[in-house]
Amino acid sequence: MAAGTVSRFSGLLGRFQPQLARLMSSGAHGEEGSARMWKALTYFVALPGVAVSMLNVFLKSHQGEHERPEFVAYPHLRIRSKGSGRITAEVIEHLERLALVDFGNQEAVARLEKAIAFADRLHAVDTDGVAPMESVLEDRCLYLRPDNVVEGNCAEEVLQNSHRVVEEYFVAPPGNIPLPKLDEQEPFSHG
Amino acid sequence: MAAPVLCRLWSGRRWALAYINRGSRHGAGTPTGSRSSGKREQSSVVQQPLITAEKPRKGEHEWAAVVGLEIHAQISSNSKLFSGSQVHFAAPPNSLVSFFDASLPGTLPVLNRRCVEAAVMTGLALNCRINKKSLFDRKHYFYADLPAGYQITQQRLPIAVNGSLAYSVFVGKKRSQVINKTVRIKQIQLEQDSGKSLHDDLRSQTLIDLNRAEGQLRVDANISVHHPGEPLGVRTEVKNLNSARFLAKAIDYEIQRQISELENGGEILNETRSFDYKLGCTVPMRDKEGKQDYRFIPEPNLPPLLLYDSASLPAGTDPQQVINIDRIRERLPELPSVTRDKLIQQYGMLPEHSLTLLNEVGLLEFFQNVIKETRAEPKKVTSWVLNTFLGFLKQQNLAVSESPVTPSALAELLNLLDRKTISSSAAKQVFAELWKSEGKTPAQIVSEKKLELMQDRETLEQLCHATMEQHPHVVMDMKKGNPRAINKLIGLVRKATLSRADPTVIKEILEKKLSA
Repeated sequence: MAAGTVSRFSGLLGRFQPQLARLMSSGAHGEEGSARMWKALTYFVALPGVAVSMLNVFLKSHQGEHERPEFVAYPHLRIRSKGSGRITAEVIEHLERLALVDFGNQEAVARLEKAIAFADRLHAVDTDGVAPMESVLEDRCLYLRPDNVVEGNCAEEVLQNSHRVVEEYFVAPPGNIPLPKLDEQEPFSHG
Repeated sequence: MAAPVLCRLWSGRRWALAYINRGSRHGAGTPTGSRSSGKREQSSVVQQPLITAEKPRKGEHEWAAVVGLEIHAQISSNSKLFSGSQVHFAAPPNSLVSFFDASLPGTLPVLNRRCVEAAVMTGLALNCRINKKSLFDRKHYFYADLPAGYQITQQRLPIAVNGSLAYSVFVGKKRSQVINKTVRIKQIQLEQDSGKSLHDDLRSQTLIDLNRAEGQLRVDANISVHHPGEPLGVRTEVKNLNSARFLAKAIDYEIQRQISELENGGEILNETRSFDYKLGCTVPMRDKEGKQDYRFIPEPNLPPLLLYDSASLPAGTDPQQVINIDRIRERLPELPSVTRDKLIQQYGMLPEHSLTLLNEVGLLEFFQNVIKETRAEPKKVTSWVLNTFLGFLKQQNLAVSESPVTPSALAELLNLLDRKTISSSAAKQVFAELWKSEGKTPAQIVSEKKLELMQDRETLEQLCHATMEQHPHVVMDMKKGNPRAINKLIGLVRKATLSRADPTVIKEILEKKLSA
């Protein structure tokens, strides 16, 4: 619909271009001439354009109408660090264990705090009564694959990436290697 | 990452401390065979019955236990939940693994239609509400058999919720009394399974096979205790339970452990424990530290799963791309409870007999085949199938399919019995002979061993008379009114007839002679 509107618009303009040219070239007529030009523009370009855009929006709003079911929140949403935006040493340690990242120094922690502060600006938007999206894909169709065997049978290729292989098994350490405890690490201040 | 696993059930708040029916097939009878590897499918099922503790301790008021079961069942499908690799047990390691299953970068999950249908069928069979829109989430944790570092599951909004399962439990000394219970089902969800780890302690390494995890049906139990009326207690999770019997034992032990701990002033930690089969107790699992934080996020590569029913089905859609709940409901096979009710109505069977018939694989079919070919009464057939036939099977630990006696053979035998050609003890003898599977028919065995009932009443009367003459003191006892004497006489006559006479007829003749 938008595309149609634009082309119609330029179509309108096209028709009026010679007239506009005439109006503008007769600058000799002064204010009267330009007033007429603007009047013409208003009636023949602006108002129809607005009408067409309104029609577009009206039609579009009826197309994809669907009900938004209730939002189901994750229990861990909206956890905030205490007040000032500083993140405690415990949270850092927790994150390091969970995600296996290494906040090696104070600068990294500061960067994390800045990132959170940046994201916190979303709270400036009033979302009362607005159901959140699940994901940006939520209006897409989930493709259902038929239950046929079409892949696999490539053990050699799949194992190629493995550092160590024993008889077509991937080799891993005996269990999760425990991370060193906080007090065993190099001490650095979390501030 | 095996086949799709079924859902989580939370049951209601009553649970008698008795056996859950062993060997009962899960849900609608779909065989839980395949698991898709790479991204296997699971739905986990959690039941939560409430137990009222059997013996309240002295001085304390009652304890109530709350138990939730998380059941993982592999869905029977050809390919995996999110990839097109084959689902097959006992394949060479990592041979059923596609690039997605190995979590190579750039691969995406593609949902298997069959698995969704299976989950809907299970939800319908368990009286759940099917969510027309359900979502996929990622559950993050690190382990070598989970190469992606997360498992795709349905934590927030699963495919089915709020169901129930009615079941029966045998109680009493001879397990002859049946009580009916209901368990609540909290939710059913589709999720991936992990790979298989083989621990090689000798070389201090673990070998990983991403075909599929082990166990077509696995269960974890969550247990807590509290005083009725007070808030729920802290729960512990018990893993590594691989049979219904050990499940019951582990739960019983854990309940008592928690009660003792609390009564002695201790506290229960929210931890994961494992069941030690030899000691019969639960022990804390070593490398589980505190509460796991799974960092759930929506699965960004999968839009919401939308299901329709006949009313809401949009027009002109590709039937391969939509799932109609009503159609699936129509395709559900007859559920066991309906079959049992039919048996009870049609054959006047006792409920516990219908349970036994359905609990043994192939037994119902065997029973129905016998009924088809015999004119004997259904009650007789039931009794023979459940007592004699099943007894022989269990003695030699055979399945119904391995039985040396065919339904036709048993039907023929029962016909002979019905026509009173042979006595019931003779019939048992014939059955034992049939079991030896020497290829003879019941009729042949009967004639070979001369087991036919004596049809000639006159000969029988003469025999009775002769026996009475030979044992006058017994006759005297009988005349005095000693009830046991007549049985003795019947026994003597039977011996004389080489067990070829019907005891009831003998009794009748003897009584007539006595009164004469």
